[in-house]
Amino acid sequence: MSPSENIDDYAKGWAGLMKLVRNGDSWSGNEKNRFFLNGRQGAFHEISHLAGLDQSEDGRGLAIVDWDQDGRLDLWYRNRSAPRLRLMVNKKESHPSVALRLEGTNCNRDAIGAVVELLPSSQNRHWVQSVKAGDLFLSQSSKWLHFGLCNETQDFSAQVLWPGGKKEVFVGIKAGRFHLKQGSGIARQLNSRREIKLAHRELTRSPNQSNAHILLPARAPFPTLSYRDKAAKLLTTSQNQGLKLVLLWSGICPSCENNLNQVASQMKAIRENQLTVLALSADGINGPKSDLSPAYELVEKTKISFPWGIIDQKSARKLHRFQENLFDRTPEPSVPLAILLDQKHRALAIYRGEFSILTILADLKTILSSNAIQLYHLAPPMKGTWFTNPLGQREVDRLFPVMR
Amino acid sequence: MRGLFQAVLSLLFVSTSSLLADLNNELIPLTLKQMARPDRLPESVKDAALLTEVALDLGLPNSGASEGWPGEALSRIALSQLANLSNSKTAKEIQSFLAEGFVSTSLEPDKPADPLWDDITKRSGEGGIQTPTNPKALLKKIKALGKIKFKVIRVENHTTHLHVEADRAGAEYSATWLTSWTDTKPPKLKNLRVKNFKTIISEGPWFHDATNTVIGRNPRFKAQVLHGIDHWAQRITRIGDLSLTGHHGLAVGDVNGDGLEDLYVCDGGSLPNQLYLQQPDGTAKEVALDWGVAWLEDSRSALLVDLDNDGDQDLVVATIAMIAFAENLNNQAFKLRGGFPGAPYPFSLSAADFDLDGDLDIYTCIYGAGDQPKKRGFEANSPTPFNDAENGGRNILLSNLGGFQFTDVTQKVGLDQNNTRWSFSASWEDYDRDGDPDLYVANDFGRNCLYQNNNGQFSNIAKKAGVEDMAAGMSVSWGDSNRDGAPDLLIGNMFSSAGQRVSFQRDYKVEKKRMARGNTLFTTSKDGFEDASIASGITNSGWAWSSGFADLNNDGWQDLVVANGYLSNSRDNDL
Repeated sequence: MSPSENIDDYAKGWAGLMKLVRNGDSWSGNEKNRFFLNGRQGAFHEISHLAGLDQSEDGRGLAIVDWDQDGRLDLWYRNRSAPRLRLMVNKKESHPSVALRLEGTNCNRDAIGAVVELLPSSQNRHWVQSVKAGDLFLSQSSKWLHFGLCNETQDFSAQVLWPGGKKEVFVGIKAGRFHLKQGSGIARQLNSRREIKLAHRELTRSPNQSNAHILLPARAPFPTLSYRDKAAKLLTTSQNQGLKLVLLWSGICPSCENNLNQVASQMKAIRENQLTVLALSADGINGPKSDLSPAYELVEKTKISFPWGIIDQKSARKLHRFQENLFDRTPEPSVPLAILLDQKHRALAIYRGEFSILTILADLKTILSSNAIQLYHLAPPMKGTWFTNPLGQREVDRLFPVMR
Repeated sequence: MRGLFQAVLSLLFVSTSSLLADLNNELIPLTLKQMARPDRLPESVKDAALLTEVALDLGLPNSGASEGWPGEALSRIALSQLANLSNSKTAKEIQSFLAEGFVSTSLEPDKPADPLWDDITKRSGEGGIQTPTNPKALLKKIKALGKIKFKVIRVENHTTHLHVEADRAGAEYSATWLTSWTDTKPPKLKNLRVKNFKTIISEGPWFHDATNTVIGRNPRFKAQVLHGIDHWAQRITRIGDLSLTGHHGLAVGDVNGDGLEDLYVCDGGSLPNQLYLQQPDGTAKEVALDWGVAWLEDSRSALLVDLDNDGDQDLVVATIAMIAFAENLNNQAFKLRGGFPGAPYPFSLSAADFDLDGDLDIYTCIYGAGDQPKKRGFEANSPTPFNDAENGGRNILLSNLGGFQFTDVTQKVGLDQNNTRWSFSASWEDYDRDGDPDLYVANDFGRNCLYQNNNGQFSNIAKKAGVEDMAAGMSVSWGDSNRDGAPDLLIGNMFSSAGQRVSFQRDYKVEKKRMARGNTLFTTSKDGFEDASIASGITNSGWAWSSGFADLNNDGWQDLVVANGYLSNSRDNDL
């Protein structure tokens, strides 16, 4: 194999791996976080489980901070998987500590870059810490410097090398929290530790929800789906212009029945909104072998008066590809699924699972009265602010070309 | 995926969360035949081991990329056999996995306990002599270890080398096992030798989980914190910029000047960043909207620092649109003062006053070049060559001009050397103790950089100092782990058992083997830095994103904490 073919394979390899992940595979996932105890003789000993620091979320950021000011360092984890935040509070019965917060007057006020040595330390050992802003991965820990004292109980002094190279010594430091202001020479003791209880409470992940209510941040071109109506006539979703709600359903799905019933009961309101409904059964996706009787039975039972039909596997696959292109993590192909379309056959909203037709009508009103910027603000699932403008429709069209 | 940056003047808040009524229903899955699109996935590249192989093989003759791996096949089946064996409940069950005449050493011999610290003791050694072991005896030994996890780190003929970890109440076991298998389908276990083991015994746990107590009352907790990226990535479109890899960080600082630490949390596109204000009782209240910083742009990392030396903590956020600078207004709110748009798709931020002019400057790691909404990082542009890539994004040093104005001085100060190496993180430290900050940068596909600061001009001395650490670098932490007064370097890297197997089989040179070796610890001696990774026993830290020094037991010595794991998804497999 030539190097160039190799490179091609290599690029495809990356894409291929991510494709598997997008479809639900794990890649070095479910790893336990680690904690190694410094054994003082050059070796470290892993005690993740014993320390209680062996959670298996996909860890990313980690901030080290004495959150409750009890003289012991606690840990905030930032995760990819749920729970996306974890605060692990240190309850180890241990030695006292010294915490120092520096303030620069002749250098940057946060004294970032200052190096502090706590003196004296027994057995020819050094005790050095420096003030930092940003380390590890995507993280910033506390600017307080933390010195574990082990069994040493004497009064200490702190020798500070300030940014710029000037040295200053602060005396009278003992276990507790001190503020060191550049040039003052005085270590000012701050309030002692608080007595607060941060109780242990189990965290339960939210159950996986498969239903979803998604307002799209821009109008996304929707593929033309073909289907056969009840007279077996071949039609397509783009034949009639106008606002459309395309429902994908199956005769064996109770939630689909509820959706169809809801729509049937609100036909007046639906017509008032100039919306047409097209109900497409997925019961035919297995080709000639497919059993269509549950679909016909459900149509009979719900007495729907709006157009309906049966799609084949090719159209079902187009619909799946539409979602695959739109989302970073491909949803499982499933029913019920509903897509709200504008007059130009572009998707406005997606509903997975059982929906409320009144909500859909309210969404339609809101979306139609919104410009591109407002649409962009409507889409996020929670309140927040964008400081950027959305993509133009042309860029969106380029990003999600219609699949023929 | 932005056009021009423009501050939005009129903001429209529409809550859609109220529309997300709890609808109680089940989706019915559809089976679509031939859904996989093989065009993006060559047949040969079916798992990470093969990918590593393809990658490491680049440029080498006789690539085996399309040949498949007999060793990988044994690795997979051995893992499955071991998992079933260790889950066996009866001797009869376990017997079906064993070859006739099965022999084994002791799994955890009764060695004397060495005190480590406080109540913690260690037992370690070899497994001893192999003796015939009946299924009942093996079952008993296996159950005694606790909850077991296996990783195959090497395959030689019919022998698999395993890294074994087991947890039980009050004890933590880790070991290397050599297991030999019969040449049958499925293979059966012929012999088991514990090459070395270590059991740490202590009462635990040291830590408890206060997340729910501290932030559980905020509405955002249930709505946002308790859902993983896997959930959101099926709901937020690519137009909304959510990042599938979940690279979102956090920053600690006291933003309201009450003496208590607060927390700023970055989130993916379309999910608001969060600001948690600590209350006197230790709980925290989420106030990002009120403080004007609930930004929806995909945000990687943040810093809380005093940018204008007025005594309060300002906010810097690395978003995919720009590096945003916000001024702290009287400890009550933030005001967006502007942004630097020339740093697309940033990663970690690190601040220091590199030119000693009295204000903080900001270094930004830019991982990939040419990111697109549908393809990020290594999907958009393959790192080439895998173990020494220089085709990443360009990192940027922003010099603080005062008044929340910043300018790109990267080239001017000499930082454009080796500056496109897929950088994930960086950290400043005056490692030579000359009064100015130096910079270490961790790069994902090969050599790292150590930039020494000489009066505001930088030169990369990583090679000379012996700290290039050719590996998949992800994080940097400076600290004095051996208490000699000089700073040591802990670099978070990727540990991949798949990568280890392949690099063994391919007999790669040391530098390539290092790619999947895991974390690195450089300690200092009088001759400079020394690679203490293997001797210190810290390499196997998983796919380690954040690895940091922290003295968690107040004994005066820096311990190591690691947050790891790449992509956990609904299927609990491991590519």
